[in-house]
Amino acid sequence: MSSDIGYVTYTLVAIVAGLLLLPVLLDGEPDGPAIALFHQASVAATRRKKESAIYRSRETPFGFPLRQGLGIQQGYTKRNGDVRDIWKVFMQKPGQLHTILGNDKVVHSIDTLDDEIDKLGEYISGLKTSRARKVVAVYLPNSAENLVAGFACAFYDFTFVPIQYPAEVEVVEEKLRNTDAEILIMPAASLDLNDLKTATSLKHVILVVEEGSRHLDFASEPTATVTLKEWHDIAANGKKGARPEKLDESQPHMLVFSKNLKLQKNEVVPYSHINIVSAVSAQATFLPPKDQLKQSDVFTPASTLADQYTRIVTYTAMLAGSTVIVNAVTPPSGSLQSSCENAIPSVIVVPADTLANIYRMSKAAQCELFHEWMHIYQLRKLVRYGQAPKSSGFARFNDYDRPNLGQNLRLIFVAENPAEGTKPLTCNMLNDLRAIMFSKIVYAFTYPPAAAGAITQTTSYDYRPGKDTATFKDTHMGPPMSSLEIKLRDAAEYTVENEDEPIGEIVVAGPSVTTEGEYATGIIGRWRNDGCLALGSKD
Amino acid sequence: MDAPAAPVAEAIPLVTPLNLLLASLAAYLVYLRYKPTTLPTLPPQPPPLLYKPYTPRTLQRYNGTDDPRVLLAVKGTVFDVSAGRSFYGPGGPYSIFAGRDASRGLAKGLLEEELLTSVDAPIDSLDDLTAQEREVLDGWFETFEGKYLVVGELVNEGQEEEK
Repeated sequence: MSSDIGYVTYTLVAIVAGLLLLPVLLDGEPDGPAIALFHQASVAATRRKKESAIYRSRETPFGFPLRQGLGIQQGYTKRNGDVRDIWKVFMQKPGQLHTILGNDKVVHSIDTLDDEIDKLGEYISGLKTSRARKVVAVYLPNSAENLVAGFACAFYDFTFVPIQYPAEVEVVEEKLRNTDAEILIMPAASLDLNDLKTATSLKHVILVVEEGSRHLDFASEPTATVTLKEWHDIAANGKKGARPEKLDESQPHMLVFSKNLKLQKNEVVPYSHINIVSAVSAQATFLPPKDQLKQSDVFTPASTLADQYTRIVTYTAMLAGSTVIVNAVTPPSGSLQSSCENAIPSVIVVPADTLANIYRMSKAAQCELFHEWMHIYQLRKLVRYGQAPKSSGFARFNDYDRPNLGQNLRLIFVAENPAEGTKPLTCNMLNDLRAIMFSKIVYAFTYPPAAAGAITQTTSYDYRPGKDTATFKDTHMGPPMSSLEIKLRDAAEYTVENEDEPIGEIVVAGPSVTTEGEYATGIIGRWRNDGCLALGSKD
Repeated sequence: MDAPAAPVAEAIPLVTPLNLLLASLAAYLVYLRYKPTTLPTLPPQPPPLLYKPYTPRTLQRYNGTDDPRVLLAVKGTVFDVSAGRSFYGPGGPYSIFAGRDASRGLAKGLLEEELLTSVDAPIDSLDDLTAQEREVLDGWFETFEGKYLVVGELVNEGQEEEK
């Protein structure tokens, strides 16, 4: 018998031992519990006629209040806070604010920026406007000035109107007209002011001049019909104002431009302080703790700060004390790679169209067998082991054409916005993108006229593959945020009594919703049995 | 004892029972690793109940005997008290309230059939309750709200459609 045991047997024993032990040593833990993906929303036990049950986040089930605000501890009680508290918390935490200017990185002193808030607030308070409440339009690229202007508006109780940069003169003019903004902050020489003045109530312009051009005098233009002032002049020589104690809660803090799909026209949507802070705090607690934004994170908004979702996530990063690095170059006008270059971010926000383009380009660039094998291996890691692929020398060996955002990237926020007509990213596309970008991706459903921030959002570890067919591409947007509740209502041929999954018009309500009570979006949604929202019907 | 002459270099057979066993074990382990997985499924959640108007007559069915669900109405709101079947179900101490408008009985703290409004009469307006009785009733209402599911409202005969 003993003569039977030879080298073949020993080899087999080694193989069996290896097959048993190596998975234990090398496989690792999944990123999240797969079982938690089956009932992602809290569903009401009753429903009204012609309506589905109300769906809520599992964080705020029925019987508990929806998330109202930041919950800032004050003595023995907690208060909701407002946008000012985000800046105050950011000042206390070790997070920093950097600006990328080409190849240089400017590290801002938070105290200097805090002074700038007061100087800007004082200067704007002193300006003469025809209405008591001042409306400040901010037509700036992503920059420290953009954020400072937003917080100055919060501290001094002005209405803040972020306008996407760059834009055509006519677009800016229309937005100024629709919001009756009398004060505009813009980069020097980016618009011809004499063109603007004719059709708007614009009275005062603050010019942001880059450092290299400050020897030129932009403020004294003899033909100007508006008062001109340079930002660096205010920052250097301005007087610090006293921040008002109380804000007028009845007035909106921020005005957002969006298309209203129900009315089929552009409108100005007012966001109150409560809308914004409830959306920020819902965003802050949405992800499982290990994926949440932390002090160690480097956050870059690779999307315009005029987009409300980008701004809400940026505020969330500031609240968490992450280091925020802004770059004036952002998609869609710039490339994603150049917007993150020199920042080496760990968390970014990207417009959905940019990510869809990256998907298309990078999939086409996987032309070698090695690329395909690597991709299949990474998808298998995702789907079977629930682990997001990590960037490594081996994975990047002989790499194909894809954006390289550095080793630190771990999380991408991307938002679907039906008002912008973005093309939905399907489950399988998102999985491919996770492998392409070496990052987790959180996919949000937003609709600016309805609610601040996201309405629903996928969990960071939801890597379930989509059940695609020739005619149907599986896609979903995850469970509701904790700051609102959602239900579906019968609309046209869609009924919530649909045998499989209720279908109907999406109706939202809660602290982050722009109206008191319910807001009917006019968008048809389908509620899946796993508690996730999907857009459109199945056929 | 003489050792046997130089051991014969016996050819070790490749196919032995042990090798076969190990090879099949290895193959099975590889299969386990690469077999297509099906995600586990959880039973679907029960469908939500329809919130609807009840009249005293339609409510009467839900007394636990004719229909397994036990409903009762307090101050015009219908509660599903099936979870408290041992109290409100058949044979329970409060079974008298099952399928009925329990407001007056709860307010007065009496379990008397005569106190409850007849199912043919219009809904009790509760106007003649004393302040103390009203307080007791509100207390009961809150208890029910905290404990049981609101499944509808109590309306007069003929008003179901308006709601």
